Amino acid sequence: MLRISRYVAVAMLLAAPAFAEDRFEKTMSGTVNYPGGRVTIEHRFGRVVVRTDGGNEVSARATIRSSDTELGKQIHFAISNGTTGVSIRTVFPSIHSHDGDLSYSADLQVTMPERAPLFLRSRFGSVEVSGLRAPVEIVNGQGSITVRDIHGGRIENSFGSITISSSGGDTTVQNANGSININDIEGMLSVTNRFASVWVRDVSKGLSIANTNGSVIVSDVRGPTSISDTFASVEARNIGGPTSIANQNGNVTATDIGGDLNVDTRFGLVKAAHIRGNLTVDNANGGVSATDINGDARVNTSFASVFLKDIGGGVRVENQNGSIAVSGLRGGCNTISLRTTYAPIRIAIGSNASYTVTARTTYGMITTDVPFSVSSKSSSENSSSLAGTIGGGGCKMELATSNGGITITRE
Amino acid sequence: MTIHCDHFDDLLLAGDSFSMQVAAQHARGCPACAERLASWNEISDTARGMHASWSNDMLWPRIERAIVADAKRSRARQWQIAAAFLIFAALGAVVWRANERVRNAEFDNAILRASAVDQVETAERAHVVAIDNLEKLTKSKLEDPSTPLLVSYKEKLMLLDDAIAECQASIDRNRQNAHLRRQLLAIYSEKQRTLQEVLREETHASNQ
Repeated sequence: MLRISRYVAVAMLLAAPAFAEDRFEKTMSGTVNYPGGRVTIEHRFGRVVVRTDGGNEVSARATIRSSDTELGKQIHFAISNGTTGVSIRTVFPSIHSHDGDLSYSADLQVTMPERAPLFLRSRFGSVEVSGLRAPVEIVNGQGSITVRDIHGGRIENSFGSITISSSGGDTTVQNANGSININDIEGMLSVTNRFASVWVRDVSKGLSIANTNGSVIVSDVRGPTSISDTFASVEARNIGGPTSIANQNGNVTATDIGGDLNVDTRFGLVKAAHIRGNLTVDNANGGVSATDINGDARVNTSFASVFLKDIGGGVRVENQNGSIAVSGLRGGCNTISLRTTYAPIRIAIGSNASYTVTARTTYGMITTDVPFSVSSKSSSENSSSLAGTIGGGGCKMELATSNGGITITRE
Repeated sequence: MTIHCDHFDDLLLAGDSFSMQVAAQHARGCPACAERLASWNEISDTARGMHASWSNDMLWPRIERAIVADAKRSRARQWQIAAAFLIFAALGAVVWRANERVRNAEFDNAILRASAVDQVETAERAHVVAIDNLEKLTKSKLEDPSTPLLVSYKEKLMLLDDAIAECQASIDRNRQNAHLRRQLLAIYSEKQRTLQEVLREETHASNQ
């Protein structure tokens, strides 16, 4: 790499012992021309702040603090430029003392052209970046990351939070053991996390989130959305496109979904409302409650209740050991199939609804207050079945349970 | 002595006896200058007839009072300048002191003082003791986790242990670094919280 300025550009503005012998502080700064390429920053043990301007220079300013003057004097940063870009690196001397009495930190503030791509690697310190018009790549560990007004990129952290506000491009975020808080992404957003919460708001295109052991809250996404999680709750609100949520051992809440909603979960309660497309829920050991579904509602679950209300399309529920209640069927003809075991089924239909009904149960009764034209009926000691029509018939309604009753009522 | 009419006014303005004699001699032969001399003498006579002094007894005391007042104002102004300088100096000292305090606080925020390190290490020891107790209580379940959640907790605890080790290794060489200390305390807290969740999970499972 052609080095126009190698360490020479670093000018020590002030290197005076600021306090007593055990409280050394100095400030260093350096500036180089930006020749194009990437700005690379490598730092440790202190805060990094990156700002931008419309100029053509990269400048860095470091505040170095140490409990030992000699050690403090040896800590510096190197700034250089070449054909591949600009490099800024904080240099710490090798410390051979193991008594732990030598302590130090270095805070770095960098100002760079807004059009320059940035690669920043840091550890044991917080990172703040703002105002970039080119993609960023930030890798930090054991310190928080705060990013504002960038143009997409990749941000990775561990054991520290990530906060992003306003990214103008596709953005990938990865964290572990640190919360993620993202607001205003103009592009696709991909998020991966473990053992901490994820909060996302206002994404212009698609969204993908994979989390484990941490809650997920998402709102205002204008594109397809995919969320997976385990052992924590998932909440999605105001999603413009089709939405897929996979969870385990956590509740799922989805409201105002502009397309189809698919939920696959275990051991959690599913609540869905205001779904413009079809609803498909595959659950086990968890209840399902859905309201205002424009399309079909298909629900599989077990050991918990299913409540469906205001459904525009067909309804199909497969349950075990859990009751089923359906009401507010809005469509002219909703195909109904409700099956469960060891629990009752209750369905309410409109006054002018027409159905061809088949109902069957064991150890239970079939009751209705709706005018019913019976075509076949059988009843034994422990089972009963009923077939016939409501209104003029036509739409198919199949109701089956065991050890539970079946009730058909008017709305 | 012969003079020109152009210099006649100079002689009048000079006003001494010799100049006036020369002017009179010239005027005798020059009607125009004679008329100017006559006008000049008339103005001079009028001026001599005007008051040259005032007999008012109050005038001088007033002037004296004004002079004294002016002197007082001058001293007051000096005092004002001195006071302003003092205030400026005091403000400067306050600003300097505030700046020093900010710098000291920033330094303390980066490199802990020895007394703060002692407090932090006391807090760390308390965390370690609590964690040891919790680990004893959760050991059997975590050694052979029976549910996916416990497997997940075990994995998380391993990651936390790795992070603690990494942090501790850095602290061994950078003992007073405040960020490292805060980070270690945060991880200890997280580990303690996770072990408590494992314990609750155990209790929950055993109650089922």
